[in-house]
Amino acid sequence: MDAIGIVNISYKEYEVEGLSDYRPIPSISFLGRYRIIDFQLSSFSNSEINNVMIEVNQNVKSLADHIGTGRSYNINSKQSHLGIFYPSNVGSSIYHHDINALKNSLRALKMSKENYVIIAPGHAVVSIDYREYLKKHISSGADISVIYKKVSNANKEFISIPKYKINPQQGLEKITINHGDEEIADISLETYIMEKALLLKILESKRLNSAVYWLRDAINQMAISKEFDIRCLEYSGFYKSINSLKAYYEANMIMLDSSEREKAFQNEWPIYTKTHDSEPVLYCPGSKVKNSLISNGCNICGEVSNSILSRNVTIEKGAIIDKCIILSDCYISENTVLKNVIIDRYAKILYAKKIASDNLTYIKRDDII
Amino acid sequence: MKKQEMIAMILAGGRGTRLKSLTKKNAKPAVCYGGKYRIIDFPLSNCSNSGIDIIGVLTQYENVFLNSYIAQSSTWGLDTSDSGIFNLPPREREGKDFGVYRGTADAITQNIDFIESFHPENILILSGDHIYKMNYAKMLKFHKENQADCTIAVYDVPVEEASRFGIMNCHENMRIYEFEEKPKAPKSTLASMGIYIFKWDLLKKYLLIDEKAYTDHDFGKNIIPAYLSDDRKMFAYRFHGYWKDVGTVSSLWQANMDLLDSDVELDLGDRDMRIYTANTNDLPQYISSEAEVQNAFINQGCEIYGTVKNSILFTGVKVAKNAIVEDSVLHPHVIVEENAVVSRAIIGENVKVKKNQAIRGTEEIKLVVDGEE
Repeated sequence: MDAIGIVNISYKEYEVEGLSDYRPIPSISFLGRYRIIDFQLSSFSNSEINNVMIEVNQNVKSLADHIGTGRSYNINSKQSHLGIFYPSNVGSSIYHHDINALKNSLRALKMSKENYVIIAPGHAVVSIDYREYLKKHISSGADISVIYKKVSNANKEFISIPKYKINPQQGLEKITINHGDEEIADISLETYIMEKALLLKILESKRLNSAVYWLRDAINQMAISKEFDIRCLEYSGFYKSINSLKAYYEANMIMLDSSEREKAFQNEWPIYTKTHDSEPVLYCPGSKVKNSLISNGCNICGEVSNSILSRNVTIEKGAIIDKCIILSDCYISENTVLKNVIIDRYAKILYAKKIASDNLTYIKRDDII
Repeated sequence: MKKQEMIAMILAGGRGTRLKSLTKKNAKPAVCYGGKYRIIDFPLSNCSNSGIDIIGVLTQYENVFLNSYIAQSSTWGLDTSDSGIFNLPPREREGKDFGVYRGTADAITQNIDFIESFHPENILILSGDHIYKMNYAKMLKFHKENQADCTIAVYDVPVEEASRFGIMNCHENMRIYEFEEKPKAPKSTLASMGIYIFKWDLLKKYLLIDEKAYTDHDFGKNIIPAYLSDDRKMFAYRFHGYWKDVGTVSSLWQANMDLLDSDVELDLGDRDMRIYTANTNDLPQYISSEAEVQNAFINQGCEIYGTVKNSILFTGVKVAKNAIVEDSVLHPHVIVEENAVVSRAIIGENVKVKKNQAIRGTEEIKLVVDGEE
């Protein structure tokens, strides 16, 4: 495809409380064996994008380890290129936005041979065929195409995510933020398609952007000024934007429903990830598991319901786990009761015999409780 | 190229007729084991974990799948600049009749040129038939310490079973003085595991002599006895750990069931000696609210809505509501429809057990393979 796929950094206010302290949102474990960025990378790979740039704003090691050379994503190492870009963040944090991140990657952008760029968020759980959208963008003649999804639950989901005001010709009038005031909204997928030359113009122009603008702000200005033709393309597939702990929890839990899983994971559109060669799950005699997704390497001797377990989690006899998300390599000792808990990697629950409440509790990485 | 202290050759050419229809269209080393693996993953992973860079795999019988499987050498980490897994089927050569490998030793003899290209000091010969985890570097250390011409790995078998094996009789220092094939009155309980380390230059000489002789061209029957009668320095290396032959339907079933037995020491979760296998893109397994799963070993991609007890389920197996799977081994992508029952059976890849169908093994484990009962 004649487009560079750019995985953009997440907006400054997006925070998966607790989990994003240790790694950028795209790097957070999802549904046991994936990381959130696997969805966007798989979409790029399946859309035959040969040049992928991943912008990362913090803790690049976690992502670099997971992505490696890109071979797990079926990205041909000779024909294609996958690069991780870690901008040097100078000055106060108001300058650490995606435009600066992209400016840091200017050379790579200029030297690439592709004519278009597709900028998409790394914190989105989505399955999208960009070939279709690039075609639509080119044939429309628009300067920028932005992708959106029409939702009817914007009062409950997609809080703090941008939404679009779209005119009858599908032109973008302006970008605002969804605060949950209305049920119906055109939610931004924070995905932008344009000619590379235009992106370079935006990055280098003092007029088109301000020192503190994010790309969404620059595009909003361009829409309002009516100088540019910005068109909205609709997407109606599966979409989750992980911008908070609540969004993270709900996006995982909804996958316990097989019809939702079928929407997100389609046979001919594989979601790739790195393998860890973990062995199959061992269920002891006396174990009781209901409505749960269990990753390889787990050892289950207790009761697990309505939960998602990552790799190599041990649940000892008598433990009762309900509505939890447990990240990899955790140990839950005998007779522990857990409900509504998210446990980060390598934690051991040894002494606390009951952690259960109606609110979500987050247990930190490596904690011994 | 990096100097090779030892390269490995895996004998993966056999059919394994006692596995019946499991090997009708598939070489024995490609047969499924342990919820996720194929038999050949064990010697390949052991080699990788032992620091061996070069592995030749001698294939012959129905090797189409096996050939493409081992070609993905990255699965075992052997796709680096100086490492590799090399598929070696019999080949046509100038001045020679195109034929099969005439025996285990002949398979090596026909590939002397391949081995020579690495100038290895030692060569490790492995069969692709057993389930075990072993660090061959330790065996090589033992081989070098004893300045052996040949080191044979041995396993201490129960005395009542010793007559079924090739038995090594050794001095106290483990030097082998006698080898008896299936002795009626065994003098020791050290059974040959079919794992040999040979000093290459010396083995080459014996292989070239054997090539022209009228023998079975077999290591156990011909090469080892020749070494013994020439008083070569041969040592037995004792292996401790799990070692199982999976050559029959019932032993394959039992070896799978061993994974549910906490007394059995085969630990597939051991990070230091992991067994690697081809990756799949399947989701983590889903266990539904109606499911009942007890004492089972289940892999990625499975969806369980029914009952699974004392069983091993491979990738992507689906068990529908009210279906019962007990004491069985279900290979990848088996579907068990509503109300069906599978008991004491091995069900082959992609088989669909239909609604209300019952497949019950008895004392004898029932084998059901796609296309036939």
